[in-house]
This record gives sequence, structure tokens and C-alpha cells, in this order.
Amino acid sequence: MSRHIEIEPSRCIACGTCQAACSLGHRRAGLQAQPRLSLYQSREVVASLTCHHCAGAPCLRMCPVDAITRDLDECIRVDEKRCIGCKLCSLACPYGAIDFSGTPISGVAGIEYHTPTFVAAADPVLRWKIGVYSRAVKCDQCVSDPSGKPQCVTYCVTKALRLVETQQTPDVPTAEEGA
Amino acid sequence: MSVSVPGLENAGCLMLFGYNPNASHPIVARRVVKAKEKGAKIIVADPRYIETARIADLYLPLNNGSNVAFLNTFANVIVNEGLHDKQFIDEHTVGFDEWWKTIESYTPDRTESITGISPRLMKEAARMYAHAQPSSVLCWGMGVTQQKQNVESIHTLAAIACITHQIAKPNSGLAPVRGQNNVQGSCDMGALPNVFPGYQKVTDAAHRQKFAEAWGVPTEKLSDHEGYKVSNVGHLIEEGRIRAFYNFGEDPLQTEPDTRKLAQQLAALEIFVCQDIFMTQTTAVADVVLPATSWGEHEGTFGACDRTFQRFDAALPPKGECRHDWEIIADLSTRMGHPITYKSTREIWDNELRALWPAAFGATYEKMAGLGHAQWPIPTLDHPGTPDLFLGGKFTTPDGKAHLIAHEYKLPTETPDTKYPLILCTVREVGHYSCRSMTGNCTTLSLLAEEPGFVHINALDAEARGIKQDDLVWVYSRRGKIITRAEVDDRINVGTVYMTYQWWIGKCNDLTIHAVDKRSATPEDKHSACQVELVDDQLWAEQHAHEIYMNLKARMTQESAPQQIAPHQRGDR
Repeated sequence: MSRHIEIEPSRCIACGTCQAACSLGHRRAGLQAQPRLSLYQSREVVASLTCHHCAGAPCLRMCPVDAITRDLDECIRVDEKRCIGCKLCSLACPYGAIDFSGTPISGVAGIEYHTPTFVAAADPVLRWKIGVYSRAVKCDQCVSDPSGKPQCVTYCVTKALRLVETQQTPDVPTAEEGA
Repeated sequence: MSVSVPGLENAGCLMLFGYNPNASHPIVARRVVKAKEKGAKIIVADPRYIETARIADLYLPLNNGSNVAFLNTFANVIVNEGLHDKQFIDEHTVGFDEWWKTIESYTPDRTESITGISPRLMKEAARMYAHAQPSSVLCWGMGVTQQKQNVESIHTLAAIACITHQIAKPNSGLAPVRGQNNVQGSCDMGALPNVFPGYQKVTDAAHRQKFAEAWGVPTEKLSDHEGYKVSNVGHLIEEGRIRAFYNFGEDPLQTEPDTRKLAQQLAALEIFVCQDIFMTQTTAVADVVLPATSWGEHEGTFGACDRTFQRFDAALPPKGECRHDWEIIADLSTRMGHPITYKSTREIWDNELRALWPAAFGATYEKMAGLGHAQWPIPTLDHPGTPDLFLGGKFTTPDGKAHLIAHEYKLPTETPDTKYPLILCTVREVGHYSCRSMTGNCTTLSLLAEEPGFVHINALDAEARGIKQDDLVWVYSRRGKIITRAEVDDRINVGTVYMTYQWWIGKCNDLTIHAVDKRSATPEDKHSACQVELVDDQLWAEQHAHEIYMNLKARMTQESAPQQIAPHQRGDR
């Protein structure tokens, strides 16, 4: 039994509500506010993309400190407290579903007066900020939310996003192919 | 709108002309998706391949600034292909022959070089629009109104609906979807320089007498001529005709064109009063700032673009020194010699609107309680409201008929040249609202998109300038120069760049031309000439953009500091 988030691109209106709901839900749970979905827009398609919780899960095997685990519900989760921010998982992920984020030195509620140290056009993996302990951030299917439901699905305005439960863990790469 | 917003779902065809609901009104965009799922045909005419174009049956990529040429051609094709409804034209319209004299020469072959639309595509769209059953709706937004020929385009849009009889029946007609949630409501309440509440003209002596009696003032005290429009204020200050300016709920130094010029003009005011809920660039230069309450702190009514009134309640008590807008206005009026003693918004609603505007008499607070609503015209207490206007071909002109008006096409005020080869068009984005004074104060939304904002540029234009995604770039025009981030976008046309209103650093209105239409005073925000250039040292650019943003924030924090006082230290109001 596993669950994953699916999108119907013809219903998506690119409103970004999924990202805002994701951010707010995780911030409320005391986790990084960085949204765990990205909005992909090409000429033909718009879709918000997130972790597939795939069978192969190369991220899980790359992590040197076992901060990434596959839980009993087959969902792949990162322990943000244990993560050392080495970024190996992000390099291994075939879907680009792992991002990095950290709390600035001014604290959660403080105003951030940072000095930019990177060019924003650089790859997200290459970004860094002085004094910020950045850690891997990815979809955890809102395990810490009281409703137990992914917030992006709950708040999707057009019901383009939905939670699909299957008997099989979806899609590859498997352990062999992903290695 | 002649149709209601929910009614859009039941139309047979929606034609979106210069309107991007996904960015400006996601809730309307949801209706468009539902209409499509119910089988409606969708036509999109826009220079950008907007979100709705993706699900459209026909997409017409017209050239920027060619609206009137496009619409005249569309009308020409309708008549030449015999798609018009002769009976409806004879019975319910006037001026067809005169109108046709102008439209006749706009054949699709002749105008293709102006509009960029092939005759085949134009004919296909005209057929789809005119033949759709049970009805078609023409939706438009700022893509029509913020152009040089805005009123002209609207005349032609209305004429197209009339000659095809895609108006005067349920779920049909014209849908100018208005910008803000209460812009229609403000107009209904008379927040316009030419009308009293309910669109009753100040130039009409009978209306002046009616309002003078209701307000208990001599008739000659009420102005008998139209006032100034906000987009003309800057020039009127320059000419010495305005010396005091009371601005509320607006951030003109963010939203008006050519803001650098406007800032100089505002500095010449003798007194400048601002009423707002946050410190903005405009309130920061005001002599007096009156802190008002936000939508969560007050109650009242909203008037939606489809003439629907809704009531809303306060969620929180006012914070600090903030007062409700109506309390501030009433207090000011009292101190200036005309006492206003209202105790609630309901009293204002009943006395100022319902009692003085027959079409809204049935819109009682009881009817709008909870999730209720009232859609004007709603003349009696038991009236159900009016979702569709002009049913049966009864128009609100003196003779009850639609007057067909045609115009010749004219070029935009400023066209690209070798020094400024790109067209700058201002647009909306979904993440931030209008001038960003509200959404910029929301942490979650700031996380999704932050300063210095973005300029959308086609991949070919970007490549020619060595620009990559997320690079910082200079954008400059005859009016100014700003720094912003490049968003390389394959949904937009070559030769035009698109910027949104709200960024303080990447501020497009430092670049836009101030050219306003004489009748509506709407600025031509959709067409200025500019150039884009890569900043050589990207890391310096990141630091520079950050520094000017921090300086601006620090200045505004300092300006609002006097408000940060404990309640017990506050003087009497």
C-alpha cells in the first residue's frame, strides 16, 4: 500500500495555492517554510511537481547520516533535524524533487538582513547563505498535519491535485536501475 | 457585465480578449475550466500564450496594440460571412449602415500585417463565436482598457455582440471583468468624479436636487460639473490647479505610469493626506497619514464585477490607532462643517445607497446575511435580482436600442525604435495583488516571489542579449532605468517584454509612458518602448538590488515608527 500525489494538468490553473498551502502547513508544524512542490510551466503543460516517493529512492541510499527513511506507509521522509545539508540526495534524485532551505541567523520571526553571496541564476544546489544551516526539504505528504492529508490536495482550487492510493509502489527507478 | 460570473459556466463559447483570468482572477479562471468541461468552446486572443490558451479551442496570437484593427476585422468577417443576425440588428440596434462604412475596409487580408492573424484563423474564430449555442460571451480585461484605443475597442466589442445576437439572452454578452474585488462596488457608491451613488450624473439638475435634499444642503452647494480623475492629478498639480490631495486606499507611486515624474509632482502639493492600512511609498511622502482598518477588521459590503453585492463581517477588532474608512470620512466631514453622524455601515447602506438609488432598493442587509447576495438591478424587496442584463433586446439607451459605433485603427502612442526596440507591456501575476502593499506583507507569498521582481522575456530576445533565466538585468526606457530578474518565458511573443506592477525595485512604472485616454483617463499601460540589458557583474547586481530594497524598507519602517506606541500612551481621538 502506498500513496502519491497526482496532477491533472488540464485542470491546473497555475494559481500557486498548492505552494502557499504547503508552505503554511509546514511552517505551522515547525518545519522549513520552503514549498515542497514546484510549478512547472511550459507552452503546452502546467503542473505542480513533487516527490514521487519512488520505489528505487536513490536519495535514501545516498544519505550518509540516515536522515532519509521510508516509513511504514511507503512515504520517503527527511528528518530535518538530522540532515547535515550535504546535498547528495538532491544530486541523486532523478525528479529534482529535493530542495534546500535553512533558517537565517536572525531567527524564524526575525527580518533577514543577509548579504547575497550567490548568483540566483546558479543551480539551487550551489546556493549558500552566510550563517544559514541549510537542510534537505522534500514532500512528506504532510504527515505532521492533524488532518493527515497533504495540504496541497486539500486546498487545490480546481481539484487538479489528488491523492492516489495504490497497492504497488509507483514508478522506477528500481534499486538496480537507479544505482 | 451583462452576464453573471457563475453564468459563464453555462455559455456555449467564451472568447477571452486581452484577459488573463488565471493571473488576475483565479476564481473566474476556475469557471472557465468548468465551462470547458461542460462543453463550451474557448477562444483566446492575446499576444501571450496565456494559461487559458492551453485549454482553448482556438488561440489567436494578435500583435500588441492592434486591438481595434483586430476587432474591426472580426466584425468585418462576421458580416461578410453572413454570420450576423439581420432580424436582431433591425429590431434592436441603430446605425448599422453608418457603422459598416468604417468596418467594410477591414478585410482580413488587408489587416493581417497589422494584427498578425491569418484570414483563415480569423474566419474560424468568427464562426465559432457567432454560431455558438446557446450563447457566447466576450470577456475582456486590462488588455483592452489600458490601451490608447480603449473606448474604441469596447464600442466595437459591444457592436460585435449586438450584430451576432450574442447578447440580450441568458448567459451571454459582454464581460469586462474588473480588477479589484470592490472596484465595481466603489463605482456603485459614487466613488467617481462624474456621478453620485447609482451612476446618477452630477451634471443632471434633478439628480443634484435629489441628493441635496437627502443630504440637507442647498442644491447650489453640490458641484454641477465633473471632477478630476486620479490619473490626471499629477499634471493638474503641475498646472497649479490642484494644491491639496487626499488619497486613500491607493499607492499611486507604485501603480500610476511614469512614477518618477509623479513623485516630483506630488512634492509640489501644499498638503498631501494619505489613508491606508500599511506604509507604502506614497504614504511615506504624505504630510498626514490616517491609518485605516483592513478588510479583516471592518464589515460592510463588496460589489462584484457582475453587479453582485455581498456582505462581510469583521474578524478582528481594529488595531492600534486604526479607524474604519467611513468613520474617518464622517469625522472629517463633521469637522469641515457638514456633520455626518452614521453609527454603522448598515445606516450608510440604507440611507446613501438604497434610499437614493432605485435599482438597489431591494439589496437589504437581511438579504445579504450569511452567504446571501443581491444582484442589481433589484428594485423591490421581493425582487430576485438580475443576473442577465438586456434580456429580450431592451437596452438602457433613451430609445431602448443598441447604438453601433465604429472607429478607425490608430497606432499606439509610443512605438519601438532602434534605441528602445522592445515593447513593454504591464500585466498581472497570480502571487501578488496589485501594488503589493497587502500581499507584500504576507510571509508565505513573499517566499514564493520576492524583490526585485521579474521581467518576462522570450528566449530569442534573451539569447540575443546573453541573458539566462534568473539573471539580473537592466530595463530602461525614456522615463527611467530599473534592475530586475529575467524570467525566460516561451509563452510570450518575441519583441515584447512583460512586467508586473507590484515590485518596488523592479518597478515597471518607472518606465511606462504617461498617456491617458481623454474620456476615461485610463493610462496606456500596455504599450511603452524599452530596452533590456544584462548586468555584467551578477554578484554585484544581487548585492545592489538587495541593498536598495533594504534601504527602502528601512525608510518605510522609520516613517511608520510614530505609530508604534502603546495604547495607553495614545491621546484622545
